[in-house]
Amino acid sequence: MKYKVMIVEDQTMPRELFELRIQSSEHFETVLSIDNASLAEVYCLRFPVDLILMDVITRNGENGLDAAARIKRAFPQIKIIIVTSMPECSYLGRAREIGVESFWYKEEQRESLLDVMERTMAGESVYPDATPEMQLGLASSYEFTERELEVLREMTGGDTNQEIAERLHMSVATVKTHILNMLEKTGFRNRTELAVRARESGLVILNRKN
Amino acid sequence: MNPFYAGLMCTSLLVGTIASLFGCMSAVRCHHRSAFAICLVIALLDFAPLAVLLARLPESETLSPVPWTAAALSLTALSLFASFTLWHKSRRQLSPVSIKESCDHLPSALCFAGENGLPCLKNLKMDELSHRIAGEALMNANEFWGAVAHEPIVTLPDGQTWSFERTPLYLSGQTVYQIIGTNITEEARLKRELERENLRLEDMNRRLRQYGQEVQELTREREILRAKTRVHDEIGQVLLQTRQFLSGTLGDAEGICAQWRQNAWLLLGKYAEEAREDSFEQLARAAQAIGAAIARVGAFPEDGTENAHLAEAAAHECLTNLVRHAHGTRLEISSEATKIGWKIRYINDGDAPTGPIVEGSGLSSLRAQVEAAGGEMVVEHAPRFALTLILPMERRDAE
Repeated sequence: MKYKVMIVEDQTMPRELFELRIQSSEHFETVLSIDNASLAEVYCLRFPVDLILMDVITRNGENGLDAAARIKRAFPQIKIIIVTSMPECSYLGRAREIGVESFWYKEEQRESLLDVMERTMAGESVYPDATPEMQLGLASSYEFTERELEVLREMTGGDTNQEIAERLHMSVATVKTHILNMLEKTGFRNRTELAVRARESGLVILNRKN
Repeated sequence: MNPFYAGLMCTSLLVGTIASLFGCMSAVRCHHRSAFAICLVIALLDFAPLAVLLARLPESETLSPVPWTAAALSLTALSLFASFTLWHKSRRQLSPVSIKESCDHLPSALCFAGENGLPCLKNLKMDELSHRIAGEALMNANEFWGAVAHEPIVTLPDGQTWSFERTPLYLSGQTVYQIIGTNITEEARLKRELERENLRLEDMNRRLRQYGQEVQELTREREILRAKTRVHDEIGQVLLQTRQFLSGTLGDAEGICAQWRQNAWLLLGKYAEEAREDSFEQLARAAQAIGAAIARVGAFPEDGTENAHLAEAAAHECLTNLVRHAHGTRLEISSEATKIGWKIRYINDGDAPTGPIVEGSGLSSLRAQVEAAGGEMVVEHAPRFALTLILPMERRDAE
């Protein structure tokens, strides 16, 4: 008997590639491919699904992690693998917190998707050791502290220091210090360049929808 | 008494007279009438023996030195004492003149006036500003304040900016109005600069927000490009295998054909983006796929707005509950724009709840979102399940 897989991916090309990989496997079959994470839970009501391959950012900006959390509450037996190309550092922690079984970076080809799927169905939890290392200006993504990344994430929303300080419950002076430290590490000329480059790289992604 | 001694006495009495007159001037400055009278008397007392002595100077030999010496020394000492005391006092007291002089040297404009507007004290700067603002020196403080009260920050043609402020003071049962004008040219320049900077920053932040939305698309494009590159690599590999197969060295026809089929399938018409449906259409399609139907009646918030997102989230929640708990097949959503905002109601054809609805994580999360947006959510269980959202109009809705 083959495991039934639902693919939640908003881009046709990666979706087709996932389908092809699954087609070539003896243990899996695709029962459904959808492009909007928020609808995955609805489809789970009728379709027998054993495993979901869930992209993080899907159509209409729907967040796959939020959808995964809802599915885990309603259908705890369904296993989920988060598949993403975004190196956003908070995704790994959030996925673990929700109880998602496995996590796979599309760009990191150390382990094939099918291997991760098989290990997941065998009861393993397969997570990468860390987010992919990337360069932001002169700094490696590993050089930033957790708090700096939080400030950086809010900065990409175009907020002022005052608004960031209120949202993160810190003083405006602390926000400024974090920004100055990041500018020093990266060598960027100003905060706008820092925010634009950070967002472009996918190191931090702001999700204000929920 | 010899002439030299008489001359010394005259000098002493003259010093005493001058000192007494100086004392008189100090008494005037101190507004001290009795002191003035005392000094005047002492001056006369000094002057009288001086006049007598001067008149009898040619016959000074006949005069007895003792009484004249005693009178001259005591009167001179008294004059010097009175004069010094009053001079010292005048230095420790502020006179109206000194107050006026001090006020004139202030960099700020200053005016004190009674309730009728007549100034009790004003400085030169206030007169100068009154000239430049009202066209005349300040004659009535009420009229001047009337001219600047509607906009108490005045920028003059030479670029100077002055800020005026009026404060009532209560002195000895009377109300005195104090008007102070402060030169804030530098502060105004810095404020204008700050406003310009803030506008620039706001524009930059707006562009950053816009960019944040666009970069999502860019990232997707990049993902597609990577996928295309991968397919390109795979086609290269199949080509190589085909060549090896045709030269008879390696490979099997069936495997190579299967790989060609896969790649051709990916390339044929699969790059085209699917037509974008709005969120409700997608939800309706999902509902149809699980054997349920969603019927919508009325006008709904514009797609893409926060209200549309909340309406869709509620539809999502109601659909899930309909299928999982109520075992129904039809969700009806009616919406209308009312004076208080959007009123959106969800009912279904499923089993009626047996008691009050206990809000699980889905409904409570929806309620939190609705309330955070300034809306209201009402859940009814009898006679059948109904959920109503009242959502305030957003700017885009109102337009």
